[in-house]
Amino acid sequence: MLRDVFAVHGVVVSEDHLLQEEDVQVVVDGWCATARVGYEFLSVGDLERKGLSPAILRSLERWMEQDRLYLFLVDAEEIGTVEELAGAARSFLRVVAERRQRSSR
Amino acid sequence: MTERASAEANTLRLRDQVRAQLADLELAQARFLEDLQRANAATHQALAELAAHLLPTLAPNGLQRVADLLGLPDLCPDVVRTVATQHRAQLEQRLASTRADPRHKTANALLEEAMARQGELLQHLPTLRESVQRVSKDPDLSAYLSGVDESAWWTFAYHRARDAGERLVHRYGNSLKASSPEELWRRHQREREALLTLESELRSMTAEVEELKTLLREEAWVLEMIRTLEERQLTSLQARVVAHCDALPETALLQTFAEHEADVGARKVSGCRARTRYLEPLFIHFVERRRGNLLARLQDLELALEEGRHAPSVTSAELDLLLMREQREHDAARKVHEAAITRLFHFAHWERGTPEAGGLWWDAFMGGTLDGVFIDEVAWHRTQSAIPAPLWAKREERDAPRASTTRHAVARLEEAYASIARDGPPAPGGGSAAGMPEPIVNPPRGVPAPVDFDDG
Repeated sequence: MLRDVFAVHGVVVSEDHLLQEEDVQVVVDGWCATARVGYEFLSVGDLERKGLSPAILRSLERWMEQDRLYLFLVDAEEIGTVEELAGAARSFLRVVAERRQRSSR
Repeated sequence: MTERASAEANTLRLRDQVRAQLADLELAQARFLEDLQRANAATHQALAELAAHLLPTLAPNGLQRVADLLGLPDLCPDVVRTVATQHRAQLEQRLASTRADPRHKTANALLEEAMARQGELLQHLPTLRESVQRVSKDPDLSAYLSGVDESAWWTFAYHRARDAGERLVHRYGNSLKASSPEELWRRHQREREALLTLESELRSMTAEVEELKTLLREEAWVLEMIRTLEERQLTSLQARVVAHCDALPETALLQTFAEHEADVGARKVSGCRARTRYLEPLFIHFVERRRGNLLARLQDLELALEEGRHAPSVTSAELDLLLMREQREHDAARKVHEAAITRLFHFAHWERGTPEAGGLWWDAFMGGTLDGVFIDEVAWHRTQSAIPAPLWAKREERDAPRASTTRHAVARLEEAYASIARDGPPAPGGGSAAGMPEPIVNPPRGVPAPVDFDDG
């Protein structure tokens, strides 16, 4: 579902994509290499299996603050409805667009 | 018609008449209760009239005379004056304290102002309250507030909150003049504070309005109490006299007023009390006793009908005469009772009652129309008093059946009933051994006992 929402905003993602950035290698649930935008569903039991260590998460967050990449982190346990998730995704993509615009000035 | 069918028809006719007479007596019972109330109210009224006659004003001379007459020291003019002075002083102190309130002089203007402001506030309150509640109760507000400040901008929680905020702006942005969730939240908070302020101001304004009203009411009440002080004191003293006289026994009451100008008033109280006393024995004599007889007779008749036993055969003409006689006696008793009640309540010559001189209120009320020895008080008086009873009309003779046919019918019935009593109950389904018509085991009490309204 998130893939469709991202596509509407012109972000075509490939699923289970291996994201490589500096010394970090991590498989994310959805990623558009062109736009450098993607999403990742997090759940407590899954972090270790996916190799998402706290250090990697900190690196990802730092790069997002620097507008190098944008990864929508979704705590799977917080999702109430599909509409809620879609609305939040649209909001994320709007913020990304604003930040891109600001950082490009 | 067979003899048996004719006998059953006779029993049914007897029963129907008994039922109709009982219904009459039920009405008399309801009237009795009304009469008792009426008599009690009249006694109280007589006492009130006596008190008002004794104490028309608070004039010291009058007070002293009543205090001496009744032996009531609290009616002495000095005592009454002291009580009035104390009461007036208390009221004046209360008035002064009310008038000492700094708001007193301008209380009316203040009240007007406060009510105008209260009206204004009340006018704005609903719109503001509705606007605040509409946003406060929107679930998107709590969703927005729960995530937007606590989460990083790349998380689902942050954007879920932000999305809820966008929906809030879409819904309330125009009315709150806000283009972003942050601005909408600020404006909503300002509205909420304004509402709290307005509600608080309204509460204090409402309290002030109430206080001012109480202040003005208190002053009006105290002034009214001062204005009516004498009137109320007079009423209270009259009530004291009423209570005192009400507690006086008959002899003491009449002796107290024997030489007094209010003598007739005291006689009226005495007479009203006697009237109340007479009502119950009258009721027992004319209604209750007769009702008891009729109920027993009805029971017998119902049982006879149930068991198929019937009155001895009498001709239809004989039964007509018997029923007519009974009905006439029933009606006569009712008329005598009603006439006695009417006399009791229409009596107005209270000066005629002389119980202290051996007279009897009953005789004064009835004027010789009804002896009334069924009333213990009257019976006792007749045996003890040297005063002869009035000359009674010989009603018994006058009301006795004159027609020989009536005498004959009654005699026939009595004879038949007596024969039943001798022979005992019949065998079921058959006549008596002597070939007599089927009798009733417990015959009706024969000819009803003559009412003794004229048993003098």
